[in-house]
Amino acid sequence: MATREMSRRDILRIGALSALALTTMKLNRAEAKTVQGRMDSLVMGGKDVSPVTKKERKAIPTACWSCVTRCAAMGYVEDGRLMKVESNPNSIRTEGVMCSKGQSAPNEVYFPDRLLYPLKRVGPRGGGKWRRISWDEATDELAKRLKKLRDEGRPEKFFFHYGRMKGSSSKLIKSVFLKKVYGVGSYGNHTSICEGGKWTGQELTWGKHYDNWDMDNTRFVLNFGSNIFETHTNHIPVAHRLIRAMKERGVELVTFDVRLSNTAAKSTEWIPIRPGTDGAVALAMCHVIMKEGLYDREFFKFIKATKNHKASVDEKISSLKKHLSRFTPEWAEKESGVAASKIAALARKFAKTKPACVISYRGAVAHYNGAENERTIQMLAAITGNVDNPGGRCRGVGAKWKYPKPKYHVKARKLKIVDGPKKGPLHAKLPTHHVSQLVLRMIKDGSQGRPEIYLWYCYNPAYVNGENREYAEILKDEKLIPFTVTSNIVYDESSRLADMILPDATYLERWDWEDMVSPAQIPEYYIRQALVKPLGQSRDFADVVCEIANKMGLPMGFNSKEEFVRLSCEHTPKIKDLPGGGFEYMKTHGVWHDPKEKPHYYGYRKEVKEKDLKKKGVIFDEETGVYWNWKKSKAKSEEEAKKKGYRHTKKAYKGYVGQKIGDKVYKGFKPDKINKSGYFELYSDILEEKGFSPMPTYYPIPEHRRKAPDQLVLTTYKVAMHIHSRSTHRKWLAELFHDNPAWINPETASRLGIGDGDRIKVRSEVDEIVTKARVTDNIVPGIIAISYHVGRQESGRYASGRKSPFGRDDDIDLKFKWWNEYGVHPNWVIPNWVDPVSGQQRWMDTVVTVTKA
Amino acid sequence: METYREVARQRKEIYAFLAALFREELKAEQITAMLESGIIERLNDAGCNIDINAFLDKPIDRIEEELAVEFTRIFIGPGKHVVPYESIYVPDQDGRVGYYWGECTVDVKNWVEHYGLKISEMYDSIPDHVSIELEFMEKVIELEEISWRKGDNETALKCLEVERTFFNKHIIKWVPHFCERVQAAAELDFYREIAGLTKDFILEEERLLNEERIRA
Repeated sequence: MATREMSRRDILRIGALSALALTTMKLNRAEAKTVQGRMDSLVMGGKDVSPVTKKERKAIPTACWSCVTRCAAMGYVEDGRLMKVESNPNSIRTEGVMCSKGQSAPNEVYFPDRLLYPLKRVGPRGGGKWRRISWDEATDELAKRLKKLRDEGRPEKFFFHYGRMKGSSSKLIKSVFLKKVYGVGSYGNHTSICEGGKWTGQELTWGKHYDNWDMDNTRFVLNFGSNIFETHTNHIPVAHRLIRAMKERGVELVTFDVRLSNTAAKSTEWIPIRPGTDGAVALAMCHVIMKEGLYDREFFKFIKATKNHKASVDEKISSLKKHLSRFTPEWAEKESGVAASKIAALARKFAKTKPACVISYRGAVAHYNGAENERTIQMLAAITGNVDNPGGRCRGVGAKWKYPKPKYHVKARKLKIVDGPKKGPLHAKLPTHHVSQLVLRMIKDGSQGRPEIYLWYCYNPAYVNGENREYAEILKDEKLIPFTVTSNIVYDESSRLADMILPDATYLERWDWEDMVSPAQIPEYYIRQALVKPLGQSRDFADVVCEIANKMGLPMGFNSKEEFVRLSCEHTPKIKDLPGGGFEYMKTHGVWHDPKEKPHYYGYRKEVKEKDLKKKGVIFDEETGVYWNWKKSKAKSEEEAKKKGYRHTKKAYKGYVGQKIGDKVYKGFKPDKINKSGYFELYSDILEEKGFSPMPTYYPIPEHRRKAPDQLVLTTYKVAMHIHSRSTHRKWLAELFHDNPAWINPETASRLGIGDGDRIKVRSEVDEIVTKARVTDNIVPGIIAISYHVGRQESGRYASGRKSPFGRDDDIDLKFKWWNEYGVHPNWVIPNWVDPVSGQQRWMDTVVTVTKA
Repeated sequence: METYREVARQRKEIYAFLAALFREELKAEQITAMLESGIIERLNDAGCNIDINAFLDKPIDRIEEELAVEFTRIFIGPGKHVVPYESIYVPDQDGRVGYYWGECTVDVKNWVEHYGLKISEMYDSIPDHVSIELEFMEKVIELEEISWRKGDNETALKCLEVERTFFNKHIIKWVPHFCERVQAAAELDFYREIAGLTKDFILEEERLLNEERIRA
């Protein structure tokens, strides 16, 4: 039979005979089929089969915790062992997509150097000698020490420092135990070493932080320093939508970065830029847009661009035009290295493509001028009307859980060491997310008091901050901090300096409810449930907290996080009414969103109801046009509130009700952490009072101006297959990435006499490291880029080649581990400097001298 | 949509039918049923050229044995035979070809398992066996047909996308060539003609699935 084209008729004929044959010849018997089961939908995942036993694995909905994105996930368990983690296909956030970090989850549970027993130090701190103790011994000692401080009326001498704590973990440990039950406000976070400056920039402009980028509806994306395809605080949910937008709708992505990151490489265009100059480019774009009349006049109604909040739209426009007049593209070209013609063209394109989304992250904000850069980028979104609109830069929307709150009425006391010094070059004037990189330095300084117990959780202070050498020394000094404790899964650079180690459960062995921002602008409720029993004697730290509270005679009304999560499911509106009960529903499905809910946009345009203005305590502030409830502030009386006014009453923002614009009162842009008005503030009275420019401006980085011609700027970056400092013990990830040579441009390298692969010395004013050079065109001249994650001193054999105390040898892959290079950690040479506005750690500003080693 | 649905229904049946013929030898009762329901004649009507006389005047168990011997000789061996696994034909990324459990094998397994399907425990098959690939297509088209019927055009179109991707990534890369080898190796009409029919059908599928019209 020769090959010939079949016709429709042939297909019908063969189809008919096939159908007949399948029935009469019984060819379609289920048991005869090689591919079994039925496809219920096209959603991938939700099921998994053992390749060995061919048995279906138990699928348990849960949530990832590799990075702060916290994607809803699905764990597959076989005979009590976690085999695999994938995305939960029913999540509206991830739509069934999961990154490499999330998929390496089984390593997190079973890595051979994991901490599995409570340990107590023997001999001097940091000496590396340990003995195993029982949980009873550990919690007895901690409860006794904590109770003593509390009984003596100085609970603030207990300082709790966490790296990441979110959702129910944060509520149970921080909001309930520390603040309400124990009565301590001495706790630190780590936001300032992440992106605190970005949040301060947002709080100054549109209030409560977190910007969602609406990729499903946008038509153009302008990116200032976000490596969104490799890493982001809402990574997969946003990144996969951006990829879809580019692929299916031809949306263009233009990326400013000093380095050809994988995001820059996958962008429509990569525009190399000098470090810390993003704000200059954004200002010049605003200049072009205002000058050429490409702005969105309507949105100006909600903008404050003059001292006087009652200014007309025309007055605001002319004030902004005047302010921006000196920030020409030609000026920005000199600062940033980006061609003036390019800046102007992009400005026009951004303003004319509706809707368009401007995105930003640490490339723009981890600088001296970080908060200001974010403010400028916010301005770019605002003047083009791309704020909280479909396809623009939207205010984050997340789940609102209710949780049990025991009735304790203690006033929390605190040590004032979380916001850095009150004066000098390290003073930040508006540290709304604190200055965590200076906590250890503040302890050393001692002028604000020192903690007697320093407990850190999901945090590695001796590795994640700058100046690692000094910070390890502070942590090691028993005179500075008498008692150190950590709850951790891995023996890392800081755990080895603890007096007591509490082995934490991994996120795959514990419970939580979660609430991370939804890129669909519709809140997603989801939970994390324990997939397997905690390995060894490890225990969720929140459960340990419950036990300690009980031992101190301070019961909280629940005895475990699982119970806390169950009670939350039973109390949260809508969740509690789900079929079968909230907790059971969430355990079965893992995720829930209201199918009737519409995406949240334009919240600021809503008018405040008349009756809400007449509520008790609500007063009008003439100076700002803000209606606010003084009773929610720290004011003691209405007279005091009126006398001091909205802006100068402590915590007045907590009583914010609405913003009067013309003759109407709008919900506006609700403030958070600072007493901002309800306008989108481009003119900030708060900054003006602190001695900064009220209007968004550009602060050149002083050290970069002063640096010698041969000196370079050190910049750091994340890669797609690692999680901050928290994943080098995962073998699948360590195999993919374990070494981090320093990127350097060929022109710069040849000037310094450095060849590809050469050993180089990188020296800053604080320390020195020796690493290897990778000479590459993928970075702008004058810079050296070193990724972090690696360069571990501990964290087990996959991370550092070092076995941890009580490490096991039962992982067969230890035999197949083929790498023995572990990279070099750049933070050793990075000073703990602050953005003078926000306190943001200046990761990308360090001036270094690079020589051949 | 009615036409799409009808085409999906026919395609699903054809994939199932061909998969079954390549899966294992026909049993005596299946051959009887085939003869009694006039399948051979219908195959010939559809362009095959099978001598019906070879099936007449012979006891059924004799025909069963002849076809079984032919099936074994063509697909299993001993000696030179036509291997029904994709990795024998399609090279890995590094150019290696002609061995079992190649990259494409793993990929087929992933496709099947990712959609919540499972490869039967009864067959000690390697996942890139021709009948598994054809059956996977059948499963997706089945969902496509159901979706058209329910008026869920979005899912139906997504099914077509999955069919196209899998087909272009796997089936079209080797099945026509495999069929030609079967045609050359066959001594009896039956498998030679089935291989010919399969090849024509696959080439027609290639045209259908890659038509611009259904990509919209």
